[in-house]
Amino acid sequence: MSKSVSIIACGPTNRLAMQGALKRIGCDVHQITGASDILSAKRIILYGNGLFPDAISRLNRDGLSDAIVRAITKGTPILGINLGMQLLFSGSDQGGRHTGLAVFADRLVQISNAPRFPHMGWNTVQNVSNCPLLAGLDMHSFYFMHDYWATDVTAAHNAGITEFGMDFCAVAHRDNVFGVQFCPEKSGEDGLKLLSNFMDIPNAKGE
Amino acid sequence: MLAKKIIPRIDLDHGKCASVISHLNDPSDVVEAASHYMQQGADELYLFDAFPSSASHKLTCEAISRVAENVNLPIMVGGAVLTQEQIADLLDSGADKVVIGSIAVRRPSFISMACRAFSSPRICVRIDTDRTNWGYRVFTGGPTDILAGQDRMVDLDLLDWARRVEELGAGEILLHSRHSVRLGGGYDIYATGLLAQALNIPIIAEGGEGQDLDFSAILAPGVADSAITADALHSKALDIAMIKQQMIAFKLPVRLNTVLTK
Repeated sequence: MSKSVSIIACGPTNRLAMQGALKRIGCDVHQITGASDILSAKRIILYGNGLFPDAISRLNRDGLSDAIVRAITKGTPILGINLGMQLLFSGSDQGGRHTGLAVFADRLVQISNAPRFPHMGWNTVQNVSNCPLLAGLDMHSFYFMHDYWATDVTAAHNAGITEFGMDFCAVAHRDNVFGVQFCPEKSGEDGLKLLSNFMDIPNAKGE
Repeated sequence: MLAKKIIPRIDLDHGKCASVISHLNDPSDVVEAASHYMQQGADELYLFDAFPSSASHKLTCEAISRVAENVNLPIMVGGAVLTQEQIADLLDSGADKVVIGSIAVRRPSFISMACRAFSSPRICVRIDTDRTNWGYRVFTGGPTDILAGQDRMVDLDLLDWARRVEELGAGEILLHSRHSVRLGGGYDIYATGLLAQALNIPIIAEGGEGQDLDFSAILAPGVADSAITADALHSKALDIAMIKQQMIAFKLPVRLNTVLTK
């Protein structure tokens, strides 16, 4: 039986890559168009790249932010990818100070102290808290493409660390909420494995 | 540790594969070409519209969509990108990064506009350079310039222009060296190293490669972050897995491909 997942794209982002990757691992993919879709979803992937302020104001305007927070409270597994992960933090300094969905307590700041930035390319992720998302993937490489990052690697949510000049939070995890700074849909076989790990995380109904 | 990237360039002619790639069942099928290089261990794909026309943009977008749906690797797209609408179309179609070239030279403010609209990591600026009696200078020489008879040297010093490109917000620079293409003895280590030392954004090198050793040289510490390769790969003179084996021997950080079972 194929597992169902609902996806929300934020920013100018193509749906095909995400849909293609999820279909390849045998998922039944649904598009989220409104708040009611979020509340009925079995699993949610919030993904995209682009600008934090644009994405959060769109989620707020369409009433999706509240619905996402309600879905989190009722135990729906949620995976935020790239900008989608950043939206789950308290806020970001991109284009001013903006407030996020505040599942993870840290603010995104522009990358500095790095050999080169933006952080573009394949880097390894260390599984530091036995996170089920990274099962079988400790120290594997994933594709990153970002210019803001969360640097509090001592926070409780920190589940995966990547080193780029300094350590930063590449994977965040709290209860049923996960965030990855890299793009699993662009990360070859290891990316597909990570997405299927997410699909194996049971939701509140044990599905 | 951040890995150094090998990026195959696939030229497109109205959405079909224009590069002559050995041993494909359908040599014109861009998805087959992309899958072939993913298997070999490509870290990213560069789809380049080599024959731009009024009809080619839409066909390029369709080709990108098919690759994005079937191949889970990052996709960089370039060739005759002249407007913000085209960038939006390419990103919507499944490109992860868009490469802009001559428009950036003609209208530098286009770089900052594009970066504000789409974010820096999605905008890569291609710089075409050559070694001249006045040092390394900037050229415009994209397919559209050649069509318009505007393939020429611009009154810009390479390093000055590259610094400007970084200031304007570009996420990455693709440095194409005519000098190294002409010589064919490897990438332009001098010009690439010059930019790498002076700038903070990642540098992609293009032009001049012919043997495995060229990659280890251009991707050495302090030079390029990525290297583009095309003809020598397509003719099977080079193979990405072999290139990476040699990079490992030189202690360069390399992504090992988990599907590589040879």
